[in-house]
Amino acid sequence: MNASNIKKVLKSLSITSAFLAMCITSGCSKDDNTVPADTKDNVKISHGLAIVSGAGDVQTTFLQGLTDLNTTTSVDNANGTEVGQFSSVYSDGNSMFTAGFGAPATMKKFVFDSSGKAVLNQEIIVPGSNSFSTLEIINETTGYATVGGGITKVIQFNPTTMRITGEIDLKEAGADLFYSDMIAKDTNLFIALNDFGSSDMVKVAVIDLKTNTLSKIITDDRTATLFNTLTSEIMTIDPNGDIYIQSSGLFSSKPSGVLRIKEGETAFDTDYFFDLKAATDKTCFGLYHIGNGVALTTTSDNDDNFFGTEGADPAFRYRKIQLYDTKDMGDLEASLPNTFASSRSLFVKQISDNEFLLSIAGKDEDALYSYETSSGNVSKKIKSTNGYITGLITLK
Amino acid sequence: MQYLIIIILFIPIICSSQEGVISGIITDEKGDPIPTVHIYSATANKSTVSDSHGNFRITHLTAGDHQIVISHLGYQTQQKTISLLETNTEKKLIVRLVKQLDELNEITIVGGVESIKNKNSTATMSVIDATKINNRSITTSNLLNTVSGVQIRQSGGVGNAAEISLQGLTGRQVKLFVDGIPMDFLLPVEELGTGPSLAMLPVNLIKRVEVYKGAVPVSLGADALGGAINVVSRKEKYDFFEVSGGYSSFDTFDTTINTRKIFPSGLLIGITGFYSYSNNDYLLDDVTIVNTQGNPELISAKKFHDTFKSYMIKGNIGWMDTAWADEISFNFSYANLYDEIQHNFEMRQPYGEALNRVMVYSNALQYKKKDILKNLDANLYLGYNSIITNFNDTTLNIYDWRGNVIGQRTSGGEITSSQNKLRLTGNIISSRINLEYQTNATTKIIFNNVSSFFKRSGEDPVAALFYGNDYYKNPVYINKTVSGLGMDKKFLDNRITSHSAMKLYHYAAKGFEIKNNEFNEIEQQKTALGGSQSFSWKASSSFLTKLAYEYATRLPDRVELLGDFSIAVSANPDLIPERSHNINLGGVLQKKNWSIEANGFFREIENIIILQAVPPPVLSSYHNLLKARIIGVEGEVRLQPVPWLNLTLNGTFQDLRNRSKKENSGVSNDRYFGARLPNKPYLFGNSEIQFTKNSFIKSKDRLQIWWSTRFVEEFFRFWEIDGRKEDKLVVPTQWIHNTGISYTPKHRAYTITLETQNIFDQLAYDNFRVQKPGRSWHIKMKTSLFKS
Repeated sequence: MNASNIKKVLKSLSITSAFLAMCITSGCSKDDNTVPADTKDNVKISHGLAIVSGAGDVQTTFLQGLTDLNTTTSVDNANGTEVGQFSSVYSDGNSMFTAGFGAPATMKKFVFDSSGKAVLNQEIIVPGSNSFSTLEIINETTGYATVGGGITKVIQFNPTTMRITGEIDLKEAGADLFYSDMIAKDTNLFIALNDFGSSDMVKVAVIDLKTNTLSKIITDDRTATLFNTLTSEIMTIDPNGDIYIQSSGLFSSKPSGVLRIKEGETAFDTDYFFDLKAATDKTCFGLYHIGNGVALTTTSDNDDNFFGTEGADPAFRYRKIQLYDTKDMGDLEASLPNTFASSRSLFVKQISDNEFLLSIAGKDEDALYSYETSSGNVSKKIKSTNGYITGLITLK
Repeated sequence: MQYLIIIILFIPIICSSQEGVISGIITDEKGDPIPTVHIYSATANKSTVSDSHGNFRITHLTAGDHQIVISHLGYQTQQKTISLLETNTEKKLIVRLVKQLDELNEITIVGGVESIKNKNSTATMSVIDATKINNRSITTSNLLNTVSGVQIRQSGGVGNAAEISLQGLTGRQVKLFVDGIPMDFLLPVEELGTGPSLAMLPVNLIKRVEVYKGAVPVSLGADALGGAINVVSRKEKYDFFEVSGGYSSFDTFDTTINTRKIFPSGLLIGITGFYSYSNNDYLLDDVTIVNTQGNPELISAKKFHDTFKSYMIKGNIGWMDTAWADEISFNFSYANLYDEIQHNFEMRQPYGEALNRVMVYSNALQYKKKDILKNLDANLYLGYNSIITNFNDTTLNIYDWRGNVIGQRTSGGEITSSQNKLRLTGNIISSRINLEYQTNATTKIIFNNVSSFFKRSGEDPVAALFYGNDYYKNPVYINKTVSGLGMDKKFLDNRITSHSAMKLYHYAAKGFEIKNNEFNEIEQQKTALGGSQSFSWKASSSFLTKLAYEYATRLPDRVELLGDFSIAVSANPDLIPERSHNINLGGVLQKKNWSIEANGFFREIENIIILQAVPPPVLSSYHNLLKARIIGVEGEVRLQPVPWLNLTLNGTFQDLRNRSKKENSGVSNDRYFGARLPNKPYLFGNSEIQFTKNSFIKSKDRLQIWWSTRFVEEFFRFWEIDGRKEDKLVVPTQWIHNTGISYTPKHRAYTITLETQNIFDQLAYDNFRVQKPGRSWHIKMKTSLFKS
């Protein structure tokens, strides 16, 4: 048995494991009839928060609204709306959208009432699919989503009306692919394609949004495996308009790295490659640009526990890197606990010009930590007593 | 703990008494001897059958009172109390059996042979006499569901998935047996689960079902964590022919045939078979279709791809009552199953083509002999079975709930990413040695060994194209041995019975895993000890109490330990056995016209093996995670205020609590310590009222009408302590009512039954949102011809 075959097995079965994850994290729901949105009261809610609660093999996501992020020091799920699925969250500024594991792929739109209660408003379902892979909401009228389970297309939808407005065929990108992160830039949509290392290279689909067609597949063999999970990001844009894409190198012979697509281009920058493995001597996961070429990623202290299945000790630590100079800037903060980044939660959320919030799903605590870019201070901002935080969205 | 069990085991060997004998002859009303009459000493738990001259003899009895039950089909059961004195150690009886006028008289709360066995056993158990209700359109799953402490969570209709919960323990923690042989040796329990397997055991072919709650007797050789269910098949010791057939809603058809012929030489020949078919096309009330803009719409639709059909033919040839064997028989059978898969785990995604097929070939040699050596009884089994399973999932079509093809995938099947045309062959050689040695009139030593040698391999040419290699061709081997040594001891004029037992479990497995991109062969061996001590105390002729403790062990099974590609589970050779401390305390007060029984139970379970499913790309795998504590109580009341009326009411409350600290439960604090476990029913019960009218139309005919109700209290799908309470996701309260009427004419040549289940057409769910059938109608006819 050769290594590529094994990777293919892993690829196939990992997709199926999403189905299994659905089986244990999703369940019966009350009649999901449309509930009229009471958008008039949403003004009181400034942020929406998602917490995954539960122990053992029974976990699910709870949604709630927060009135003031700066006065909130602790959150629980006592007023949380049970979603019934492990879900990541997105926003168009008005509402909260969830994309959860579980067949068929189901996207839910929630609005908040004055008490902060998340109320289901509408759903989009893609029959025959296993799960939503990634959502990208461009504005109040346009969003894109990919799904898993052998359905090779991008769904274009209207976040306000929650109607599918179009589809983009991805058959030409190939079969047996898993769709990772995506990012829209100008008139192009870039979709990271994950083949779990079988090709030993990176593949990104470039969609022409003017014609809603697949323009091309771009590849780069300096690194491989564009893997992310629902709650994490591996593509980021800097103020110059350059797109940076982080690869893990998992299941391949290639190192973790960062590639670049320069502003206005639809090809990888052959002059740019950040070998994260060489710089950090670790496998990296996630990419968030926080300004001036500085980005946050996480590094794995123990690749055996990369997916959080080998015991209670999380493996990942936040790390600063300099994208422009392709240099490692070291551990973000020694006092920050390790986190289960790939298996539970990884996100970085900017809440002001100077402040970013980082999710920690740790051995002894679940929290959002604050990172001030001006001072470099890292401090605990919000503690979660009832589970790890998988998403935070800002409402207008 | 193990030393304590050993000490307890041998404490009871402290006294003995002189041996006694009860013998005699059984005749009919004319004085003609009746062979093959069953004579049972409830006190000594010993039985025999009369020979061709009507003679019988039960030996090794203690001095004191002995309750003797004499039964034979077509005759009224008799009970006698015989006193054996130390100075007069043999009593001879002449028993004259009276022709039975009405078979229904047997169905009384004072019970027949099995209820008396139950009464005197130390085990906390329930016994369901299936022959008393096999005129009804009832499945084996439904039958089990009527037992207090038992909850069958069924995902749909005939042959659909089911999970058995017994006093709070579920799934693999509860072991199933057929005639003392682990069911997974005989039926596709591991491959398809207990639901389809139970559907391959029609009630009409079952004599009784024994439900052991807590301590599992030595004679059942398996690593059950908290209870076992033993299905005892019918093996009448007289000429017999029975055919039943029934038709029900949703195009459900069942028929069984069961016959046995015993020749004067002792040669016996039997044929058993069944055929079951169901379209399962019942109406689903709330399923979702999607419009062109992706928005869901709830509709009602009939199931369109859930056909289940199964048949089996079984032959049996042997000899009974020879000088060298009480019974020796060779059994051979072929069974076939076809099972369409309609939807995913929670009934949100319909499938239109995925299906399972199973073929089972079974061969078994059984040998029974009392006093094979002096005071030594032997019961031996040797079996060779093949279970061939086929899983087909090759279509690219996407179906909606109306059964329409609404699109196509680019790759993958309805269920798996690879597509599958998988054929797995499991070959099992199994043996059981059961020896019982009566050391004296009050003491019996029991040895039981069950060994199995399992090999599984297969092929999947479709998946091989995807993987580039046919991994299913890699064989998996599992050798398993469970040995038990037990001792029954009676004290204080047989008022107290003690049962002490130790079990030794050994497991050797060889398979493969893929880890860190490498294919590795793996081997694993596990050895574990368990033990139990139980007592029964007959405080009076009508009151019995029982106390049992068991240190139970369940070894990781094949899938948990070695993984299974077909369900995307990777191996975890580091798993350790599940353990549980089980305590049961209960009592039964049984009077002529009523009985009441109550049992309390306690379980302290650790190292619970659960599937840890995580997001891609990691494979799911089983891990030892949660600890749990279960405290519960169950009770049952039976009334027969007048001969024509029977009332039964039972209920179970079980409180399942998490006892895991954060390190065992995958969370960052101890918040879930002490919390009620989610997705587990905690309050449920059954009731039934049955009217019997004899000589209804003609003299000596019989009319029976019954009404039964099943209740399950609402329970939370996710952890109770999480989220806003008022709109948490729940599995709603269930009240399901069934009713039926049956008529049996004078000579009992046939019985015809009309029945409706879920008469009020209530929405019924057991698992998630998987809807069970609504109201259904059933007609069934059973005809029996027999010669005693």
